[in-house]
Amino acid sequence: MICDECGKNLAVFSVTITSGSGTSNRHLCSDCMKKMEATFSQGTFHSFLSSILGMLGTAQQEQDERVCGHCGLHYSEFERTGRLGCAHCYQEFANELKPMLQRIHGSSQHVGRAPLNAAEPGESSVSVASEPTRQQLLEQRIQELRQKMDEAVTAENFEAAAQYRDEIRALTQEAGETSCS
Amino acid sequence: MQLTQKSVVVSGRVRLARNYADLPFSRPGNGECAQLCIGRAVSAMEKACPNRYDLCRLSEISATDQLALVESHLISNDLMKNSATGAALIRDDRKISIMVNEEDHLRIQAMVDGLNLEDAAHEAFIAEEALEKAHGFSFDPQLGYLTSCPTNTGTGLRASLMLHLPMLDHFKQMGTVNQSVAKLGLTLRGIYGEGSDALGSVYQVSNQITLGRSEKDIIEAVTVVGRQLISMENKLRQRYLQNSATELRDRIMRSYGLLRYAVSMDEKELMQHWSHLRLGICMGMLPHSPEQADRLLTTAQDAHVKQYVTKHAPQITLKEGRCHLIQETLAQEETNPFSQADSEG
Ligand SMILES: [Zn+2]
Ligand SMILES: [Zn+2]
Repeated sequence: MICDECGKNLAVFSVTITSGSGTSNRHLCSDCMKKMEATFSQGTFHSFLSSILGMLGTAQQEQDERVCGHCGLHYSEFERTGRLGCAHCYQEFANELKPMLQRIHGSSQHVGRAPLNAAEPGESSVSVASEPTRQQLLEQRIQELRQKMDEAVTAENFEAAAQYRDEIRALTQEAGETSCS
Repeated sequence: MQLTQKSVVVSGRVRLARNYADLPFSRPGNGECAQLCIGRAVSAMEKACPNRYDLCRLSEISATDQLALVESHLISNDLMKNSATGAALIRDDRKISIMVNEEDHLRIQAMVDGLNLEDAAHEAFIAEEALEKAHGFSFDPQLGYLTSCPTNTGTGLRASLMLHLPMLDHFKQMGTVNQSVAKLGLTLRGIYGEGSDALGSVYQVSNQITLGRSEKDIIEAVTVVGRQLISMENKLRQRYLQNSATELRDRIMRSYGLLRYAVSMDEKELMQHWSHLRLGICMGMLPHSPEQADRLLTTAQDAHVKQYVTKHAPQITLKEGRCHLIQETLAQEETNPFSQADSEG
């Protein structure tokens, strides 16, 4: 999302501005957010803060500062810059990031390309170039099917959903067998 | 006169954001990590495509040369901000550039002349695989590719089309168009100039959403919207030509006259006349090719002009140099693919 103010940087803040004429929602980059904060810093800042819904996803100002155990990034630093410190930050700040991602993208489930060797961010990943394992391909396929099934259910297309369900069942069984071998 | 995609599309681009799984994200000041990223990218690409990629460390070139790379869309403004550690691997045909140590470890971007974003994606994925074979990327089965900024998480893919939309601008349609484009999870913005005035009516349409949509779907969405904008723009051009041919021709020819004979011109004025030049070419009124106009769009920008002046005429100003450069370019007439059908004029 591009910043509404400068039209150049990526917007990482969503701000609800309440004025006499009503409310408007603006997406801002960290630079413009800083500028806006600065203009409100005299006297009115507190009331301005209270009108901010906050960083995309977080409504509450937390007193105890959260820190990523892997890279040492403070959550407040992320709020300021819009940049995470490492891949583990996604897990460390999952409570804040999951709803934020949902709001930015309207989804929190990846669809599409996966690496040749998909590595879990939680594992210490020493990368060894290899073909994707059959297990990974199966799991990916199951994920895709689950999403399709959910969509079909939402669209009340139960016949299609049942088909997806059967396919998922078959693949899950297969995946179970592969993982044992 | 025949109007085609080419009369509106300037270029297309697909960009992938990727990070190495075993390193923290790029951060200014983390020079060790940055050098490691550069080394990895260089050796991976050298192995995959020997002698095709040139490494450019921003710290080793002048600010003007850096800016010229930005003007050529080979690097981003953000990379320039990281000029201490920022680098780019640029393929010899300048169709692919891999930015290292921008917001993410790697930003792989592939460019095409027309609407064919699938081709660009294909090229970008080939480069991506070559890089990945050497060192794996951060990936989470639920969240996809993990990027430094959550706005790129998922596919990490941004597909964009650069479009010339002078008539949509002229008939004040951009506001309405913007709204409907936003509803599709895409964004449309001017590329040149500050804030709301899009200099030269050059716009970029691109996806905002990267999570929950496949690469194929993203590219298709941008292409479909691109096609719609092209057809709207072309219809308005035809309408304008039918209703106000004299006015249209007059605008185009005045700008053309200035481009060919003015002595001093700033970037802002250039963009206004450039827009008429490209429109005039695509309406079959001028003896040039659209590619010629598109080249000028890059080479008549500040940093390119500065390079030109430094090399050929250090005693003249940038504004004068810009006119020299434009006139040198326009002195060469090129076959205009749009003018054949227009024989009665
Ligand atoms: Zn901004
Ligand atoms: Zn971290």
